Parts: sequence; structure tokens; C-alpha cells
Amino acid sequence: MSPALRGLLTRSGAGFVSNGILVIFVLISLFPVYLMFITSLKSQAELISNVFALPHDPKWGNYYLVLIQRGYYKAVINSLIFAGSVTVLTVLLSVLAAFAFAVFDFAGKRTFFVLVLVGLMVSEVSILIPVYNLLKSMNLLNTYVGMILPQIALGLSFGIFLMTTFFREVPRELIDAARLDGCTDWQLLTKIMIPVGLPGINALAVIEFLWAWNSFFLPLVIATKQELMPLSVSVIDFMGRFTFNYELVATTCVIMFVPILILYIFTQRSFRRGVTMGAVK
Amino acid sequence: MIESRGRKSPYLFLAPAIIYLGIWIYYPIAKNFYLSFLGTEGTHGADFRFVGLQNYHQLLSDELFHRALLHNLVWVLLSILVPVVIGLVLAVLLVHKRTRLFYSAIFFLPVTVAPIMAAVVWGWIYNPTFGALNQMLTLIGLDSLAQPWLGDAATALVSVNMIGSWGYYGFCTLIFLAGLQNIDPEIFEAARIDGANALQQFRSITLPLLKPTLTFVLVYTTIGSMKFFDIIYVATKGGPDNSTQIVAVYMFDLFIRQGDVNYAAAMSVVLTAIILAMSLLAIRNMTRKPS
Amino acid sequence: MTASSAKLDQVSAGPRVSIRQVEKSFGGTKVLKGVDLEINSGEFLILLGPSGCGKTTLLRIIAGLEKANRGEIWLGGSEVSALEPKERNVAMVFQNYALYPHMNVYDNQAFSLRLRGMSNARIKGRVEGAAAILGLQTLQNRFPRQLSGGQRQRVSMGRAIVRSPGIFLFDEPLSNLDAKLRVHMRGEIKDLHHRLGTTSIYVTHDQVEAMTMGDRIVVMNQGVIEQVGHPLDVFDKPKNLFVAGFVGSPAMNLLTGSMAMEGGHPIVRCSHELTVPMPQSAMKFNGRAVTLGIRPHQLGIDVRGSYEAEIRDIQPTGVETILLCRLAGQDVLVQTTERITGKAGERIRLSMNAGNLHLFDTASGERLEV
Repeated sequence: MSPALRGLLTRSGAGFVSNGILVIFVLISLFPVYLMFITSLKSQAELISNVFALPHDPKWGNYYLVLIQRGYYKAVINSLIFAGSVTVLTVLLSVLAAFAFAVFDFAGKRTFFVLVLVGLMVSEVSILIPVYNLLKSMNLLNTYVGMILPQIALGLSFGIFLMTTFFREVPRELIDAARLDGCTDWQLLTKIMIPVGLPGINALAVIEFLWAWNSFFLPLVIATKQELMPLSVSVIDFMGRFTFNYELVATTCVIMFVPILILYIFTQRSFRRGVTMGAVK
Repeated sequence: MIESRGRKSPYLFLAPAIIYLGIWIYYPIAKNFYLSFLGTEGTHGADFRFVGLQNYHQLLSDELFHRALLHNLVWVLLSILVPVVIGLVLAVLLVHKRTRLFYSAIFFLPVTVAPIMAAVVWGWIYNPTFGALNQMLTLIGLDSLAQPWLGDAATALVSVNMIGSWGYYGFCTLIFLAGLQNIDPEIFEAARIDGANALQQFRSITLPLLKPTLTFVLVYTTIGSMKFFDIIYVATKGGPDNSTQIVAVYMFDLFIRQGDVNYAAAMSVVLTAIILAMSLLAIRNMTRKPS
Repeated sequence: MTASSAKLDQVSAGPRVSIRQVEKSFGGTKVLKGVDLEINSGEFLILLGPSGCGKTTLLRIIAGLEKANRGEIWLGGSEVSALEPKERNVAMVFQNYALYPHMNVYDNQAFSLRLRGMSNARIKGRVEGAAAILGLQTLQNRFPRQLSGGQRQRVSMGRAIVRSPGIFLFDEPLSNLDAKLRVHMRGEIKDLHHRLGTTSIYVTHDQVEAMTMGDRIVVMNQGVIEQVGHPLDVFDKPKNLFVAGFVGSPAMNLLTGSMAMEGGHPIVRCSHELTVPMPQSAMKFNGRAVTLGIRPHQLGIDVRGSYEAEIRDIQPTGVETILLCRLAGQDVLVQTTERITGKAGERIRLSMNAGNLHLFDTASGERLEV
């Protein structure tokens, strides 16, 4: 065999293997999501007789049953209020702090930054009791505010870290030009850093929204009343009460997932940026 | 960098976040530290008294805690061996492909699925009677391997970790891909001209130049693994036979079901200390940037 | 053009700038080691030096973007060391243009005026005036990313002009442009200075910019000022070895040797074969280790020349030819407008005119006047 031909064969062989690996992981990535969707449209009878295939007779009524009859639309609203508020406030606090870290030099900066990073290392379970008692003393258990306030703290350290990285990417000369043009520190933030750093702010926002939407632990402990439960807690609550109605549990999961899927499809670049920025730069 | 001798504004911008973290993170840590030295033993009801290091002594002899801690370490190891390695391999396969955006977008999809949802769906896949996994094994003639994946103490920890790995490798792929794209392609061209084959290129160029990214992912994975909670809580609640018991789940159980607040507080202090110690090196790396 | 420039508010020549004993350190590194400098009203002053010499830091301290550790900055009659940049009425043109990417050309220029609360009508007048001067009329609605490098540089200058600042500061504004555009913009900036007459301080490491644009050049090195003077004076009478080696391209030839007497006449002995006669007045330096400087264009190729050299390399540029030669064990450059037909390895004879020689003390580096 000529070396050229052998080279060609090994190269296409390697290509075959690498494409094979990629396709396998595409299937692994998609299968559970696919399973969730098809299960949500099946009847009880089909759950065991037909696990993999599409339902013979899609039961769209499952969605009506869960959303309207079981009142799940309320959980959707709760999740929107919860995750929306957490996102807005986390981004706000992160932007302010990151502006200080990225643009100014001040005494104690390093110490403060380490203090912020400590927040990344604290388990939410660890702080449960003091947080619970704090909320109790403020009469905030089973309220939106009580769910929102501590949840912000869980994403704040990451937010500050990420925004600091983004703001540090703004060229120094741009900040210099703005100062010479007469910006106060506040104007520098609102008229230059925020507009210029908008892609970064979007990236942080989608990630914080994803986390808050999917978060489970604090809402589980703080929102025990059903009318306050966000989707994450409702899914588990529902599962506890209808253990063997897999098709309905799947329906609740799909209802929880679809808004995130839509967000992901439309803001892919922001997700990508948010995930990679802190790690690579 | 704006120098700010005598300038108040950086502190004003910083204050809301720091005060916020103070209330919801630092104060709870301090409160736990305080609580960990109290106990109810020997007195009646909620009448706490100072018991010194007694709760910490108890941790030393609590075999379940030791097991949970060991499971956390196994979890760290598995999370590095499975999703991190997969992510690295996928990123290397993708970096020169024009379809990389498409593939990495699909690989990231599981990351957007809520951990509790992953636990629910994978619970079905693992189900011994109608689960997709066993059915698939039967289909390809490997029915001898079929088993109650989450129900057997021997396979539960690895099986439940695979759920977490499923929701994590796409995250690693994306980060490694960005890291690889940051490496100047001319370096690879130079190496090829110097006669390096694919494996040599990976070992002597990709890995060393990817080191900062690798460090970040390893640190992030380690911290996340030590704090892990959601999936195990939903999938197995630490069972069967405590074979998937990890510190956070055990701690939650102590808080909620057994009401042993002080003991749980001591445990949280130890857990936080371990994570901090493990991250110490990382903190140094990360703070070098903004100073 | 003149009509439209009249739309700009009355421009003054700007204040005098005094820099007094300015010191600056970053971490443990001293970047400026006590700099004193007086800049006249309306002057175009060049800060020239290699990278890391402190020229940009000095400019940023004048702008107020950095605070000096010690020393004072005076603008006009008042000390401004403690003032914020915006309180100093200075404008700056940056190397990377530093245009606001989220604002169009008009808004980039109007930004500082809006911050000052100027009325929209007045802002419009000023921006249009600047646009007429710089030829930006048709670009006002574009965003920076839609502009070429030269256009961006012009907008960046427009942004400085509309404010009618007391002082213009330029931080290597042309170094990101290609060679042709650089020549063009050099002319435009100089022209602008003639028209507005505003005090300008211009940082560069480019010889040609320094020589052609400045009223005076300040040569800096390692945080100190080596020489201040009119460009040609600095070129003709470099104060020390650093300036001699740095100003001028190709660089001045520097030959080390020692001052001696031969038959009652002072000479510089560089080696056994190479001795250069000096004027009688150089007698006073007898016995000193000296460095002899001669510019490449002042080394003549002359069959009757007294010095024999070996050609190492010939670099024709079309307009001129640069020869790298070996002269008595030391490398020298010869710059000539003649086309040289020789080859490397050939020997030629060189001559030098005593009047073109520069003499430096090798130990201190200082110029020795003969």
C-alpha cells in the first residue's frame, strides 16, 4: 500500500471514529429529553408496552389536565416571578460590584474579591438553618420575597466574578476617554460600561435565570404552601402525590423545560459567552 | 485602572453586594460556627448550652459521616473521570470541525435541564421493570447485565453520578472548546511542520496551553461535587443502604428530619472548611487577575 | 473651511504647562524619576523615547488619568495635581482611537458637550464645525466599526476638537495606521495645530514624527529627560550617547576609543589601524576614554578617503543605499544616495569630515564640546 493511500485510509478511519463518537453523544444528549416529551403524550397503558417509540395516539389532554385542572399554570407564574426577580436583582448587584473591581484600584480590593469568591464555595444546605431562622424572624417564610432574597445570594458571587471578567475586557483607553470627556463615576457606569458590556450582562442574565428557574433546594424549604411553589418544587410535589402517573409527571417536566428550551434556542450566544468567559479569559 | 486615593465611590459600588453577601452568606456561616459549639444534651428541649467540641468529637466517630464524605470524594473523582474527560475529548474532536457550533449546542442542551428533572427522567430510564436502559440491554442480547441500577447498593452511586455527568459534560465541552479556540492555530501548524503526530500535539501543545482552562474546570468540578445535592436527593435520598449518602444530603436529613441542628451545624462548618481548603489554591489563581 | 472653523468657539492658544519634580512608581518600579518640564503656550511638543521610558505615563499624569507620587502639574496659573481629568480641560487622542462603540460618529463627538449640559443647537454647531475641518460630514451616522482606521483617527480628533480644550494630548495616535496613511495624517495633525494653535503634547517613538511635527522634542529614557530642544538642534548636537544613538535613523555610528596626542595633535585612537585626527581644542581631553560619533550619511565613500573598510552587506532602498561595513573591527553604517554596484567582501575607502564628528565621554556618556 502506498504511504499516501495508507495516510488517506487512517485519516478517514479517524474521521469515522470521531464522527461516530459525536453521533453517540448527540443521541445520549437528546434521548432523555426525547423520552420526557414522548412520555408526556402517552396513556397509562402505553407507558410499559411502548417505551421508545412515539405515542400511537398523542394525549395532548395531559397538558390540559396538568396545567388547568391541576392548576399548574400557577406554578409557571410563580417560577416566572421568582426567576425573573432573582435575575434582575442579581445582575444589578453584580454589575455594581464588578464595576468597582474591574475599573478602580482601592485599598482592600484583594480581600474583598476573596470574600466574594468564598460565596462560590458555600453549600446551600450548609446555610439552611440560619437562613431559615432569619426569614422566620422577618416573617418572610412562604412569601415570594422570602424565596427570592436568599436565592440571589447563591448566584451573586458567580455574577460578580463573571461581570468583573467582562468589564475588564473593556479597553482602558475607552474608560480614559470617558473620564476626559467629563463622566462622573456613575456616568461612566451607566453611559459607557453598561452599554459596552451589554453582551456580558445578557450572558449573565440568561445563566442566572436558568439557575433560578431550575433551582430546587431553597424554594423547597421556604415555599411549603402550594400556591407559592415554583415549577421545580411542584414537579417533586406532584411526583409525591401521583407516583405512578409517569405520563403526568413527564407533562409537568415538559412544562418546566419548554420555557428554558425557548430561551436557550434564542439566546445561545449569550449562554455560550456566559459559560466560557469566566473560565477562559 | 482608576486610582482612588480618598475616593469613596468604589466602596459605594461594592457595598450593596458585600452587605448582601454579609446577610445571606457570611452571617449564616458565622451562625453555624456558633451553633456548632452548642448542644441540647443533658438539658430539656430547646435550652441550648455550650458543649465545646462535643459535636466535632461526634463527627470523628460518626461512621455515616465518614461514608458520606468518602462518597463525596468518589463523586469528585467520577465527575472528573467521566464528564470532564468526555468534555475534553469532544472539544478536541470538534475544534477543527465546521459543525462545532451545532454539536456543542446539542451537547449543552442537557446542562439546561433542571437537575431534579434529570433525576426524574433518568429514574425512569434506570427503572428495573420498564426502564429504557434494561430494555435496550435486552434488545441487544445483554439482558444478563440488566439490573435495578439505582436500587442496588453496588451500582447506585455510579448510576446516580451518571445522571449528574449527563448534565455536565456539555458544560465542559463548551469551556474546553473555547479554551482550544484560544490557542493560536499557528502553534499547531508549527508542531505539524516539526513532525509531531496527533497524540504528540495533544500532549505537548494542547494540554500545557489548556492548563488554565483545565485548572478552572477541575476546581469548579471539585467545588460542585462537594456541594452536590439536588439529583441525589430526588433520585435516591441517599439510599439504598446509604450507598449514595453524601454530606449535603446527610446534613439536610439531620436538619429536617432529626432536628439535630447543632450537629448539622458542626458538619456544615467542616464541609465549608474542606471546600475552602481545596479551593485555596484556586483562589490564589483567580485573584491574580483583578489586582 | 475657514468659515466653518469659525463656528467653533473662540480657541485660545491654551495655558502654559509646568511639570515640577514629578515622580511615579508602579509597584516597586520607578517609572518617572523627578521630571521637570516647561511647555509654552501654543507649542507643539514631542515626547520621544523607547517603550517603557515613561513618556506615556507622563502624558497620563498631565491628563489626570494617573496621579503622580510626588511633584506638581501646573496648567496656566493653577496647580491641578489633585484635580480629576474632567476638571483640567484637556482632550486626548488615543492610539486605539477609543471611540465609544455604541455611539455613532456624531454622538461620539457630542458626548462630552452633552455631559457639560450644552444646548443641542450649540453642540450641533460645534460638531459640524469639526466635521468640516476633518472631512467627517458624510460619516456622522456611521458607527465606529463601520469606519476605516484613518476615519476612526479623524473622529477621535474631532472628539477632541469640539471641546475646544486648553491642551491636546496625543498618545501615539498614528502607530496603528499603515505607512501611507500615517504620512497623510501627520500632515493633517500639523495643519490642525497651525489652524487652532492649541498647546499640544504628542507622545511617539517614531523618529520621523518627532522630527517633522514638533516645535521641540523631549527625549526621555528610563524615567528621566535626556534632552529638550528644537528637533534639528537635538539631531545636530545630541547631549549624550543615548540621544545620539536614539535620534536619527539609521542610527549614528559610535566608535569607542581613547583621546591621545600624536605629533602634537590630538587624535582619537580607535584601534591600531584607525586613528581620527581631532581639532586642536580637543587636546584638553587627552587620555580620556571617548566615543566618536558620526552619522551614516556623513561618512563619505571616497577613493582618496583615509579609512579602509570592508563591505558586509548592501541594502538598496531605491532612494538611497545603506552599507554595513566593518571599519577597524567595529561595525559602521554608511548612507549614500549613490547606487553602489559592489559586492559584500569588497573593500572601499571612507572619509569623514572633522566638522561632522561628535565626541562623547565613554564613562559618563556626556557630549564633549571641542
